[in-house]
Amino acid sequence: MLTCSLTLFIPTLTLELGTNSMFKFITQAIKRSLRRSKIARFSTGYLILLLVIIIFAPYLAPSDPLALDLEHTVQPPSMEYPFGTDGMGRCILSRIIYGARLTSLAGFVAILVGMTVGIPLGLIAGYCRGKIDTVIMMGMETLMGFPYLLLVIVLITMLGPSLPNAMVAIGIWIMPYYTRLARASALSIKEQEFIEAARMSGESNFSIILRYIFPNSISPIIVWSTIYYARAILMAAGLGFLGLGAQPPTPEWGAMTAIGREYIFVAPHVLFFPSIIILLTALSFNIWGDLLRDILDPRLRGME
Amino acid sequence: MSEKLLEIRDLSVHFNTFEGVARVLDGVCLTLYEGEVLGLIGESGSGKTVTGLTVLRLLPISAKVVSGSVYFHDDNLLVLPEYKLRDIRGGRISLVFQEPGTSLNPVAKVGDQLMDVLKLHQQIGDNNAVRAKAMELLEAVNMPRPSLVMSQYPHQLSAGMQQRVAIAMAIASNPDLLIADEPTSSLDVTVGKRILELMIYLKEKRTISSLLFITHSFGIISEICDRVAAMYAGNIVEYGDVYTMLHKCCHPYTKGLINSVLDIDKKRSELKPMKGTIPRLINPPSGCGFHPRCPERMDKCPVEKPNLNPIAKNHFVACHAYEK
Amino acid sequence: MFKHILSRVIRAVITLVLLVSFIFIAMHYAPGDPVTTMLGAGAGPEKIRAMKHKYGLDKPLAYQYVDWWQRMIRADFGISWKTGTNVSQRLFRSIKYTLVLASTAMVIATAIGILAGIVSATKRDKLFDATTRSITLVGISLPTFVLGLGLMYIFAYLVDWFPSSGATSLKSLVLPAITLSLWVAGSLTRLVRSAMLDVLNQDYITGARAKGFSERFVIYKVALKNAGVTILTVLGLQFGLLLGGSVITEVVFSWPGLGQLMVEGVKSRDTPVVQGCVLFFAGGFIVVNLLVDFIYSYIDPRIRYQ
Repeated sequence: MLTCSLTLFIPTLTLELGTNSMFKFITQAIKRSLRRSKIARFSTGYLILLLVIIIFAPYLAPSDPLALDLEHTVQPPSMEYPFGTDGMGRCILSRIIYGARLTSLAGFVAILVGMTVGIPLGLIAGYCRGKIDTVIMMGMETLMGFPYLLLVIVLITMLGPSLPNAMVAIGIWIMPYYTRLARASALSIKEQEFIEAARMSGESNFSIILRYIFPNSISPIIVWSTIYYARAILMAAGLGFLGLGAQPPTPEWGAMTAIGREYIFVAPHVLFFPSIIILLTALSFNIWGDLLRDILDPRLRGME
Repeated sequence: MSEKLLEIRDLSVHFNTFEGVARVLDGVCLTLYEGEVLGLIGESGSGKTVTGLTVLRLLPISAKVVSGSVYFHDDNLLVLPEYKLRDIRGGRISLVFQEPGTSLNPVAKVGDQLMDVLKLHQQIGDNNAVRAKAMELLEAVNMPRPSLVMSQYPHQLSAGMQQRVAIAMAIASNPDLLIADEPTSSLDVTVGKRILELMIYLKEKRTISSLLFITHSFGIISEICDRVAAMYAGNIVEYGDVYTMLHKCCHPYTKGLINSVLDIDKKRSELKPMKGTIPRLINPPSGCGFHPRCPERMDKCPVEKPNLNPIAKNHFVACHAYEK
Repeated sequence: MFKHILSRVIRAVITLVLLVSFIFIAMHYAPGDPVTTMLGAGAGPEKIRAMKHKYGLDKPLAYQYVDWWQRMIRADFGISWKTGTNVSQRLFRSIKYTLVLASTAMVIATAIGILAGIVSATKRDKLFDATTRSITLVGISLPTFVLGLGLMYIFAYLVDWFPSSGATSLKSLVLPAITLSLWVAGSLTRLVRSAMLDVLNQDYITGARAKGFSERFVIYKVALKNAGVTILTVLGLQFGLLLGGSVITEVVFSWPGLGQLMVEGVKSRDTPVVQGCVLFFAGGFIVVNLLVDFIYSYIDPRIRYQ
């Protein structure tokens, strides 16, 4: 559909420019966009800040995220607890800082799961075509056609509510997108002459896919992974909120909003901080996603 | 001597593109008299389509009229208020596009589209009268089985039939001027010939009074036009009546155009294409736009842009080599 | 056109069949033993065997599968493992609420989305364009639950205009409906905008203007009709997003609909409830998409007159 033309564009661009110059092209275009837009600079800054927080979490957090302080439950922000405390007296700031680690890890694992299954399937489908292709794509389309939450919820039901299970479920949800992407790449790459040459010199299909098709598909995969990563993180937070992902006392942002909900009228700060951080993170990722899409195919501005 | 119907004076149009400003029209001067067929010939990219679109102010947002005027009778169309312009569009000046398939509304029936145009520009009594007039129009363009076509959608018609529909819509309100932008270029040769014959027929019957015929083919020019203007890189480089242009043209570009067409009467063993390609209009060549490709280039040419000068009665050339 | 419709119906039926089977298999292999859930961990093996027999859980898989289908046709979803009540009853009770919420939100979202999309496509004002883009960007970045909670805080607490939970009156529909619709509206606006922009670049738009039609006519009677086909397709997809969002919205606002029921079911490992909810949701989704397909094939003359 609409996204398919974008995914086809990137592989052809890669082939024309070669993977190295493709990256150069992208980085130059990114620099140009950053110069032009204040918003882009802001979101980049925020994401870098987030990265710092993730790496240096233990040094930045004032307290242990799991430590209870039952004498100071639901306290507003103070010197000791800069973001206040939640219902069990835990420091919200520390929980948010460690939550950054959890959330980012969750997203990462999820897309890893999606990639591991989705990419090989997509490459095979695109390279082999014919019946294999039809079967794989029909399966993927059915998967993608479903309301996303339903799919994930069914998977969680099968696996049980927990953060690791949520990561797997989200990964399965993301998988068809990777399949579609890999397939589009494979389709355009396999038309190249060097593939024909490799085939004639007797290389097995498996080897061809591994040595030629896969490396050339990497750039669109990387680009779209940033977008899928953002979606995975948001989905993880959503599941956490519903109680279907990270379980308390895990300091995951979504789970924290669920706790905050109970105190919404009494102590709104418990809800406010995790919500704001989810919002800012989502916004920054979306701005970046838009940026990337504008660079790669300006015609698709405003899609998806 | 007939009246001036359309006069384009010194028209310059610039397009904003990703890479800069493209000077698509650069001081175009053109006059069309009542009752005549004026041909506008040039390669793709010469600006001939843009000229046609500018007359009716149908340019895209990225285009800007930088200077000049377009006089239709006594009105400058470029400064006319919107509501008056709408009366003229489709009413007194009509446009027929190159691709009939894409210029018709795909989700409306042919009959409805015709009737909409009729209702817009003419006060014809009730629906039945409008419908009857629409059928008349289809018959006037030699449409086979007009009553069936009325209830069909454009995609159900062949390209030739689509173009007939487009022409029918264009002549619906008996316009003073019909601008035809390469109406046969995207059709099969035999189909195109039929359409051309139709237009000649309509002109003879006075259904079409005056015609601005935009094309890239001298073959077509020779069949239908009274006068011809040749365009290159946004400028009119030569114009005159059709006989003069075909046999006694002067400008090196016009000569090149004529020579690059095979003439079945003359014996020649190979095609004689012109050297080079049309210039990019973002940084057009200095002076005369044709000088990089011109076999008759002089020292003056890259420096000074030549104006249109009369060489003979009704024959104008913009070339330093042919200045009197 | 009929061939087209028939193929769509067949596709829908196949998907439905696959779905029902998949649910059966998924639930059968889900960890968590219904019997243990119901009886508690310390129950003796005798009691466990008796329970299993009572619910037919010790019969072979194939038998259970057939039985499953028989029950599906009767819309019998069994007994809730947690509360012991009849699942079908609860399902039918809850679905009313979800339908009300979803349809209200869909109507709001469509109205906003289409209008805003058209306006932002046709108004060439740079400032307006940029503002719309920013608003819609925020709209789709905000996860539904954050938005819902935010709205709840502002309108149910700070100003106390609307109730924050439950489904007691028409007023309590307001916040959840707006929350649910805004996200879809943002996404829809962007899609409508680009569909319109695509159409407005077509030759027949210039052709229509060349015939002297007013800009209004060109946009609403020509461009919109042509974009309508694309927009309809998109609406079907948006409905899927809406369904997903409705689950979250129902939880946020304690709206007693299917979504809330389903989440509770998952948390308490109450499989029959989850089965029923998923089937209802998914089935509804398939039906809606089929309807959209029908409308689409009727409206697009290129399909109608093959």
